[in-house]
Amino acid sequence: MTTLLKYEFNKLKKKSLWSMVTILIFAAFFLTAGYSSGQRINWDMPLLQQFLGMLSFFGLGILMILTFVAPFISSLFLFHHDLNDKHAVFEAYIPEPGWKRLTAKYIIYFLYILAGITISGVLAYLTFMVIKTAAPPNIRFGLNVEIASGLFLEIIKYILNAALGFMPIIVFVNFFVTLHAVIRHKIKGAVPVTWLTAAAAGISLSWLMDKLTAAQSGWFTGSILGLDPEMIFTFILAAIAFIWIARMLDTKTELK
Amino acid sequence: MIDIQGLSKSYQRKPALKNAVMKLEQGKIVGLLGPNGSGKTTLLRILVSELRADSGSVSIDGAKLSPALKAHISGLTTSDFMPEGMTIQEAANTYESFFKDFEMERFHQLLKEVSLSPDLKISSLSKGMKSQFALALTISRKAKLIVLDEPLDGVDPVAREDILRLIAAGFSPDSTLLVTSHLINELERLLDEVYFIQEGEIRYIGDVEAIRAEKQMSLDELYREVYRR
Repeated sequence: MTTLLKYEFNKLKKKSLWSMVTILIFAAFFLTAGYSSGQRINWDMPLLQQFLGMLSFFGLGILMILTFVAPFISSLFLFHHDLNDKHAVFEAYIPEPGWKRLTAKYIIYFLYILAGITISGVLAYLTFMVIKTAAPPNIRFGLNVEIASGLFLEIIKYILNAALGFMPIIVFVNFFVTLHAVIRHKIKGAVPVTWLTAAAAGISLSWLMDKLTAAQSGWFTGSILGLDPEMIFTFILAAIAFIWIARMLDTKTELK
Repeated sequence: MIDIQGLSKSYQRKPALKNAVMKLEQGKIVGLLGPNGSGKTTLLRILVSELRADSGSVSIDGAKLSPALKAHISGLTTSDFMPEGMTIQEAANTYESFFKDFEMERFHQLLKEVSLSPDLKISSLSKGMKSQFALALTISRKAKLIVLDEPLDGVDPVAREDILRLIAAGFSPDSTLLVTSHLINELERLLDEVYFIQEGEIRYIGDVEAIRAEKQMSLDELYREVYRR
């Protein structure tokens, strides 16, 4: 398992290193711009300072959103690449069972998403600091230790919930990516067939979830750590999909 | 002993391989020769789990194809198959970590044979260099079955010579090497045994030395005679 984890990590590092470096450079630039504007943005400020303040605020906002969702979106595509790009051939040679290869991938995806959300959180904190610096003197931002520690725990819970909440979506998308790899040489319209199957499965699952959980349903409405029923159901389905994908990887999938 | 029994494969109902039967012995270099589109690559891709057979079986020393059996099969169906951005050395390290039978020392010797530096990035290699690197990686494994698909395809005559030299230098008598090519003349001197393939049908031809002695003709001439081309 260590070898697989190392391999998946290196692959991800090579793919996302420059994106991370770019994000950090931009974050450093926006933060410097924000701090150097130094005061509340108003129309009496020099134009450059106004511009720097706005740029810093919006720039950090965009980076926050990017770092939050980008690892999740790229995780949706990583598995597709593993079955369709040139290196898919090497992955077909790896003498490990499908469930092990898949577990290694999902551990790395999870850590990647977790890292993205954490960086997004750090950026949110730094943005707060920029706003605090730029705020007029009569506005005070105060947090006592009790509230701060409570807030910290809530943030950790939120990060874990968000990262875990993304995982079933990745598993379900990967299921249909794998299904396509199974039927691509057997059926002429393999791509539309896969899309239609995915759409039909998505609609059926949504209907089933609505029936089972009545008022509340959906991927993000329930808390995973709170073990809400719809999330338990989602995770059971994800576990079944995981086993199925692993089995298809071992005996059914074909490369282009 | 590699035992291939009744292997068939179709692409959307179009048959590519029809009931293939082969028995490959240890220590032999076996050629599967035939024109483009005859089914050679399909067979090899099934052997390395890139494709799945519709029917039939493959076994190595009695064990059927499975994820665990991949540890005993070394394949080369394309020269561009390692993840992007790796250097030659990083690719070799990856191979070493996944395949216990990979011999790093042997790999470096083979690289020297073709004057490739381990520090080179794979993306910076020419097509011929990529073929040499990928071949060195593949035959540095002491696998029970080594399969090479068209190793001479798309490379210039000088690089072809290097590749033939690499195969001869890197082949271990503990392995069985199955190699395909439509360039029959160039591969002929390497081979111990030969199968012909056309339109997905495989035909065992026999021991190459015996054929030469008996029929007084090259494999290329024999191929033309067998299929009356």
